Amino acid sequence: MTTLGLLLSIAMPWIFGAALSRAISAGRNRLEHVALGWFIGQAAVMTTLYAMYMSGMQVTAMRAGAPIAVLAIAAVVVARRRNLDCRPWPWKPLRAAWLASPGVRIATLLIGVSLLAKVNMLVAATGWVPVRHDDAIVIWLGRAKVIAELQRMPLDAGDPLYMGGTHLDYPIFPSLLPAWTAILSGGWSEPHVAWTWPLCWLNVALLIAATLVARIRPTRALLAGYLVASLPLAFVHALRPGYVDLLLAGFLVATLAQAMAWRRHGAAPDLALALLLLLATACVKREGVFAALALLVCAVLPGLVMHRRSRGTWIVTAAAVPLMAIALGCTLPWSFIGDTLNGLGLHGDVPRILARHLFSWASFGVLWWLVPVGLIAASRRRTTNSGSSRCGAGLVVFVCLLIAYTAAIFVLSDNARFAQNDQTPSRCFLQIAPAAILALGAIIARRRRPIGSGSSLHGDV
Amino acid sequence: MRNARTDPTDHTRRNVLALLALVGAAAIAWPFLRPATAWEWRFDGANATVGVTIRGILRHAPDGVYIRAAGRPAGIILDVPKFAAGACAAVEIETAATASCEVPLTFFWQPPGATTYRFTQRPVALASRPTIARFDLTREAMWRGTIGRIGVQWPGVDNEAVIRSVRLVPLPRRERAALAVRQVLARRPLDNTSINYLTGPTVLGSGLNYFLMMFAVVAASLLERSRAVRRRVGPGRSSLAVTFAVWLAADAIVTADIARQVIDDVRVYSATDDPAAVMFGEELARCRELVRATVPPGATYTVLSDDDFYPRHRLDYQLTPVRICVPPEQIDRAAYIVVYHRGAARFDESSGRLWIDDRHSIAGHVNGRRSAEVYVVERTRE
Repeated sequence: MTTLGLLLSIAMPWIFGAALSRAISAGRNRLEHVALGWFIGQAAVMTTLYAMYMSGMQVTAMRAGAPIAVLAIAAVVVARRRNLDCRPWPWKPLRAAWLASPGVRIATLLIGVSLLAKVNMLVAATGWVPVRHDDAIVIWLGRAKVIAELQRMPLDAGDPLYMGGTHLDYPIFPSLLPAWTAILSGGWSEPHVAWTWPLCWLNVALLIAATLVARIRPTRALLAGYLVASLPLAFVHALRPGYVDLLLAGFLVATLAQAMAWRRHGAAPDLALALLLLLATACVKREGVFAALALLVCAVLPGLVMHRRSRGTWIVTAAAVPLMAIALGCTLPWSFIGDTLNGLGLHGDVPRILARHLFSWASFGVLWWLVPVGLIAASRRRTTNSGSSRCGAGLVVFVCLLIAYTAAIFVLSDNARFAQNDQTPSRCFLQIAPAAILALGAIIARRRRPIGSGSSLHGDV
Repeated sequence: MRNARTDPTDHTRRNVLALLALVGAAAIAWPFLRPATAWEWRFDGANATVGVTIRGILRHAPDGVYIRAAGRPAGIILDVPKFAAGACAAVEIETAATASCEVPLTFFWQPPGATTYRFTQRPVALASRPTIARFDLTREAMWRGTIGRIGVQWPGVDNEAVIRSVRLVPLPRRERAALAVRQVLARRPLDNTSINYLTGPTVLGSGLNYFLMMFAVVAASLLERSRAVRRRVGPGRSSLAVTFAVWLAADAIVTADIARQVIDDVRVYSATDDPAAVMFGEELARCRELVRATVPPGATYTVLSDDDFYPRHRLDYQLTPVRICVPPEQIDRAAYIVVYHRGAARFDESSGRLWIDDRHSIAGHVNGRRSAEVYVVERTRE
């Protein structure tokens, strides 16, 4: 029952997410649906459990599992009925690239060996190594354990276990994911609840590769996915579960990928899904609020202008704005945000520390900055040849805003102390790194091909 | 097609690429070739301590400076001249003591411009006859090659410690290549900070990223120049191939490090029935069992410890939500008080009170005891 419960806790939301993506989003390959589906499923789990707990419900395995199972079945039925245009698995272009060049064969083999080694380590570490790090124990998994074992979330502010216990200024949503696994697999077990993080790492890499494979050369899309999977700190977060930075990075990538899909096709359901993922990004961690805001400004709002003639777009927007406002108003730590804004001031010693985290140390690997620079340089030369002059200005602004915001957290606020003791900067940059890599890939795609040639890129951010 | 032999733009391009390759090669070679300068402070007279920060009671003598702990360990702090800061590989401290003892001599250092110190310790047997304690900085994980300030402490010396000299030892050029190889291959274990950042290997005082980047610059410049000589125009794949190769190398180094760590972890944790005892320590595991035995399910407890964070949160995580931990600030809400290595706390059997410090006390009785430092007090009505 325990193993079955674990499998169900992983499979049900994933099937729901993939089927929902398949049901509403046309023109994407199957791998995109699968990878994006994991994030949609996790968002559904968080929303469902949060609603149940806030209504004071006693959440048993049956009560938690039934709605997700029903949603999964419904999504599968709808996806089969609608039967939207779906591209096949992207193995064909990869195979063509494999056959075309011995260099690609060697590179793919080396990437495969590296990824296989990493997956092996994840399986071993998740199965045997206990959780050890402070924030995981004190905040995220600690609260998850309380909620899962009590089968309810104490809502009395006088209760020592109120909302799971400690650190109430941190969002509760990420703790609901390990709680969900524990509820379905019959009790708290670290080897079970830890699976959320390796799966997140895997799906972030897959989603980036799958999203880019339709836009740039398949080998480069594969490289982009591998770049994310091989960011040393990202892998350590998958290996040592319990921190939320990787989850936030994943939701940010999922939202960006969904926003790009909507911008491309302009379908209202795509917009609705993008806004739901945006909400999840804002709610999963405090830093996610600004990342979601940046995405809203750089990707969603220009898209609304682009698709202003679509009635469905405006219906979705009209419905989503008040819902999102209410959801954010109820869940965000406004007092913390207010305190942070009130304590703004310049900390001049921090930029040197940030540079050390980004470039000198191994948290992101040497290619964190070498690859984007190289790819953009290559794409610039290609652009000159192709004559295309347009670029994804929105994405450029988005990446710049993310980097500026992450730097500003330390340079301008009291969080400078966390830079001075080295605790947080690398983790905060990890939150934005995968989305920045996806955005850079999309920028290259825009620069490489003239608009309207080949597969349409109309509407990319 | 342009004639590359006569086109001045191509000439310039080739020359720039060659220059770039040379600069990259020089940057790689510099840590292996830079001049090494030894430096020594001799404390053989009253003027020898000018500009030196001394911690502890001090007296000068011809054979050195005598210092004694005054509230905190005796120690000295020295500013390193800039020209000696770069190629220092080891520090030799000539020291003695007025009474024989074995102490954990502490060496600490600070990179230029930094505000915090890095520490390392090694046991040293001190006697009236001088001994030389050598700290090999190249073996220290936190050493980044350059030092701006160094210091030495003599914790545990009850009488006087004598400091005769401190010498910065440069690394001979012939030994640097071997050391570089050792440093690249040395394992950097994942520690508690690894969830926040990974520092990676330091090779001859420079981060591995520095060498990989410079290698990429050299290789890409040479390959591009070769294309230019062959009058190939348009973008080449060589730069991307070099970039990819460097990336794979960096990934392989990190992955190998982590793999060794995972293998060790799995070996250790799969062989135990109580992984938390291995992870958090045997004593905390015994304390957990004591709490389980003495604090009934549903009861509230708090943990009093000199370390306010580690024991309390580890116990809380393992015992929640069956037993509910409240922070020490809310001790009034706790029915049980777990005392875990709290220096200022003592239980007075005669009065039946737990004295948290000299002023605050709680009525109760000891419900279970693991040792003199670890016990559980059940609160009773006053």
